[in-house]
Amino acid sequence: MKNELIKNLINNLKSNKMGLISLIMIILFFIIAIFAPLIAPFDPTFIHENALRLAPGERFLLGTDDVGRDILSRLVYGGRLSLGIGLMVVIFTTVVGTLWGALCGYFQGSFDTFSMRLMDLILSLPSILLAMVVVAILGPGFLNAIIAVSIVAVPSFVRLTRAQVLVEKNKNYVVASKMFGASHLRLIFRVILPNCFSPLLVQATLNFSEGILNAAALGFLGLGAQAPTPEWGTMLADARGYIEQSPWMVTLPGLCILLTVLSFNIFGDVLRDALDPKLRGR
Amino acid sequence: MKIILLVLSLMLSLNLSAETTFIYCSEGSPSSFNPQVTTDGTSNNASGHTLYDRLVDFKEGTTQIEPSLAKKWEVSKDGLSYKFYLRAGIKFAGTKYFSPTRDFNADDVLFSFNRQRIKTHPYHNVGGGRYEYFTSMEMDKLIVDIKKIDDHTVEFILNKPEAPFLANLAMSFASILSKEYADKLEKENHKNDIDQLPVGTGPFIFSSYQKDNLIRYLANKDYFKGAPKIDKLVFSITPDANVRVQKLKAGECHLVIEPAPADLSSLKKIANIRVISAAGLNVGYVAYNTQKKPFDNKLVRQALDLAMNKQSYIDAVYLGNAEIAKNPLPPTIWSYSKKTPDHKFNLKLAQELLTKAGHPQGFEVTMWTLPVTRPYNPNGKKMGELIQADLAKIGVKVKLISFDWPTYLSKSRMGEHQMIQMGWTGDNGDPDNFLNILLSCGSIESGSNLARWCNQDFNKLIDDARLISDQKKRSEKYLAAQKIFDEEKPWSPIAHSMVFRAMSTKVHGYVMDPLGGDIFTNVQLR
Amino acid sequence: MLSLVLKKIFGLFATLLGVALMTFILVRLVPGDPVMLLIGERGADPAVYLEMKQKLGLDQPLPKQFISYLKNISHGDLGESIVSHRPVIEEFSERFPATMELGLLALLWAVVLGIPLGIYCAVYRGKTFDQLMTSISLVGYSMPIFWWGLILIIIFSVKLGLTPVSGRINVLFEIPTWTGFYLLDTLQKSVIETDGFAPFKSALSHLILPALCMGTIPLAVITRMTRSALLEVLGEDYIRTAHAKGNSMRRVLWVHAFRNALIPIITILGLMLGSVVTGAILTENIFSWPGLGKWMVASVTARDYPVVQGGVLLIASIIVITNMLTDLVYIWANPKLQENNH
Repeated sequence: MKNELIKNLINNLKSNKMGLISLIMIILFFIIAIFAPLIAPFDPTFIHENALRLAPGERFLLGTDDVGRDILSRLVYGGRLSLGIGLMVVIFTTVVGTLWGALCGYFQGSFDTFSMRLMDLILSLPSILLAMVVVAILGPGFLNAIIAVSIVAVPSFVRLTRAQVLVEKNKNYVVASKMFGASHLRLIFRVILPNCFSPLLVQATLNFSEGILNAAALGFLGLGAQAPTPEWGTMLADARGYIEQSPWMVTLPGLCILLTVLSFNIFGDVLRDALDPKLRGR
Repeated sequence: MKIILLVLSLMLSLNLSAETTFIYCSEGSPSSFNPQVTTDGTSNNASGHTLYDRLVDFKEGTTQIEPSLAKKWEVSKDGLSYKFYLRAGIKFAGTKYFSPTRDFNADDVLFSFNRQRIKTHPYHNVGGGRYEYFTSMEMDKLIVDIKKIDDHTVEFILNKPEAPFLANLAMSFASILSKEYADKLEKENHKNDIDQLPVGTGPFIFSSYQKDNLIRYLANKDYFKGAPKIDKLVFSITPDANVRVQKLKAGECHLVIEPAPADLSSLKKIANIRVISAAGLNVGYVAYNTQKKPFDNKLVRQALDLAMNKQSYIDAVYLGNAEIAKNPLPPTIWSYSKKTPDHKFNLKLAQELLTKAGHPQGFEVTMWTLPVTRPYNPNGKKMGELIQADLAKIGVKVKLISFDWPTYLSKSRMGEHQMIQMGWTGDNGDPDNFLNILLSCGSIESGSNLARWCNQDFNKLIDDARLISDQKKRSEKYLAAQKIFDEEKPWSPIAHSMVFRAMSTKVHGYVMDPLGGDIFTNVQLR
Repeated sequence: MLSLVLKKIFGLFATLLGVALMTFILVRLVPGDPVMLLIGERGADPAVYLEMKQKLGLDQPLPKQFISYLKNISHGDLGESIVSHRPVIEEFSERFPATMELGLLALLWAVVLGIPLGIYCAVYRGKTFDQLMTSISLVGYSMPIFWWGLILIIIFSVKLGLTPVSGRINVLFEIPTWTGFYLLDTLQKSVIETDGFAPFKSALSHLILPALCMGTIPLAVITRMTRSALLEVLGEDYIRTAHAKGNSMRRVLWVHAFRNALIPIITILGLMLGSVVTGAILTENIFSWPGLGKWMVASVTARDYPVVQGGVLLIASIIVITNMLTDLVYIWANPKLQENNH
């Protein structure tokens, strides 16, 4: 089953140029983020003397910011931070969301009803607002921003898993396994969930990019990563005062966010097309 | 044809009924419309300068005293009695919420001061009960009694001579409020309105306030010093310095306070914009809360001061428009000590001192950064980042925190901080105004001594200086006090900055106030 | 149908109760003394502290506190802002029209442009235009809205000088409040008599750029949704039948396809409200727009907990109510759903 999916995916990528490009971008992103210390020419928090708001040039390839730090290095390390954010959000939501959703879908009953009401409640707030409230409770900071963003991303994952489990639960192969005496745990983790793989993977990809976007928004509002952490959103906030004089300070971090999120969104689309023909046409 | 006529007549009517509205882009919201409880320039501009008068006032553009609500005064030989003869025929402004039935008289003077002075006064606790200037200048201990001799004569009895007393009475906290209004509010049980819906004798009348957005004033046509030459005054609250400049360029403001230093050069090139500057009577500093470890140790404070590359802050934050501060007093004030050694930037020495103080590995600490542009510090956040980077080199990890301006001010008064950025613009040109309010033992309680530093020798020097009227003798005391300050370093003074205003060339009659205020009594638009 | 509506309304109250509970708990989760949190530095005075503690009912056990919290809400008392000492509900109602006006305008332009684009793309599926639009939508959907706003400001306000810098209207104009929607308030008789249409034009010019910024993501979503909803409908059998019967493509499109595709589109519109609030928080920050978004950010930054609590409660309630109304419209428009009660 899995091999077929992967074959499908590769075929899709071959024909879909955008998909291929997005995959390359993602790989590049991972490489830059992982090898940041080797790629960045300077320490991202180091303040260079007499280097205030220099335009991109020889020494500082992408210029310097208003305090004298190298922008290229900050963008590279910012990528590493974004990667961290994305991974933590995905891991958190996948683990918590899948477990919770599976339990809901499998056992149903009052636990399910209560959970769904809770999810509805959380979803009644726009994600950024809820993230802001969490930050209001925990205090601003990079780690707290990640926690906030992760919490916000959980409900949709829970719902998705639950829906999938509900559908699969009554299928023949599951009923058969049950008749053969499989325990609940085994049923959930070995039988049902592997067949829900595709939509969950797609959702995980989207959670990755949304996590980055939300964390950047919090950073921009001053509620996320604090100085001198080189987070892309925080860098944008610092650059606001220099829109006219040093436009590169504004354009570059924003472009990084855009390209990263876009790549993951496109790839998510491609995944969806490849893995589940039923979802095609959206 | 009819349409053209209609349009023409509309245009004409617009011109004829053209009331002049002056738009001032300010940097923040006032914390109150009661100048008795505020000490920041933002609130001062919004209330003290526009709505109220005092017994005496500063002559425009100077720190010289001239008569205002009092037409003359007599000081007794022992300096303990000040008798003020009040002008007659001055009216409090009528507003939508209050119509005065009598002119200004001695009752109003007594009310305004007694509210701050007497703890059992019915209005003392209204609005919070903290009168920062009044208490930190120890006016409550200084003034023994205020006597109403008759409707137009008031006498202040002091318990010791106080050289800066007259100059202090020209400060905003000594503004005169309306007792008649206060009585009315007390009857209606709306006492808080006295600070939110203000009534004064000043050049402008309060019209409306949209929080964090707009303050609207109408000109007081009956102002006793002469009606303002503009009909309406608007404060457009714009905390972002760059946005202020953009608005000025777009013609959405006539005058802006403290344009961003980065924009100054481009502003100077524009034909219909004028940029004026003056040496500010100010100091920007970082205070160490000496009541909290590790800042109770003098060596720690000295070490951190040595690790700061202050010239780089002047370059990056002030873009060169300032000089490094070595004293708490600015160079333009008399008794400034030229003998104080210049600031040393020496990382090695800093590290040694820190080790000697018992912190060879450094420590973690928080620093509060200013959330608004101030004349003495145009970008607290940026300065914070620079200091953070410098102190990291000696192992001191600084976390930067900030709050909105009113919260920043109120929390700082409670001494919740470890390191904090602040500054001060002189209120009356007297050194006592700096040293007493910011560094005296008494000011710890009132909250304006952010270092919460109490040094008995320093305190005695400035207390004694207040009793003497001879300026030269006072100077000697202040010089000695600055020597103690330099040794103890309750602050790291950072800079004395130039202050800037940018305005449209249509603006005439605006004079730079050495005390940092924005006064619109005499401006006009042409 | 009626029973369904009643069921929904009952569910609404349950959800609103849940929202109130959620905000109640959230604020009590904040580390620190709740009295100090809710009244700020005034609590330094022991007399004031005790007074406020009793007034806020914080000396009562938690369940009782919740009951009195609910009682207060039903009176419209959501507490006082620590920063401004004004009732939360007052601050909310001042800023609500500002955000609504901006949001409605943003949605309007997203719909007016998005639906035709979506239809066009669906009809000419696969052609260059469609592919281009899909790519642009994807970009619009992935873009950080706060960056997009800054770019728009650079281009239109700074470089071209076409639009004003910030605020809702030129401060010269004093507009008496009527609806709170400046586009309407500037058309009041008294305003036109004093200043003509200048205030209206000023209000409009201040709205354009932020509305454009805020409407970008809804535009991308609506275009995509319209396209896919229409495609799904176009693939249905009854469409092919109508076509086979000889009806022109146009007739088929408008009479049959679009009407049925409208249902999911309307649903999406209702759900776009959440997107509007999200956009508001970021857009208002960039354009200094005095609305709910800026208010919430400032309150979180200032740790103004009564405002955070009250603001979240109000905003969540509005979204929940709108969702329920959209649900009802969806069910009414789609008779098939009325049969199955979920």
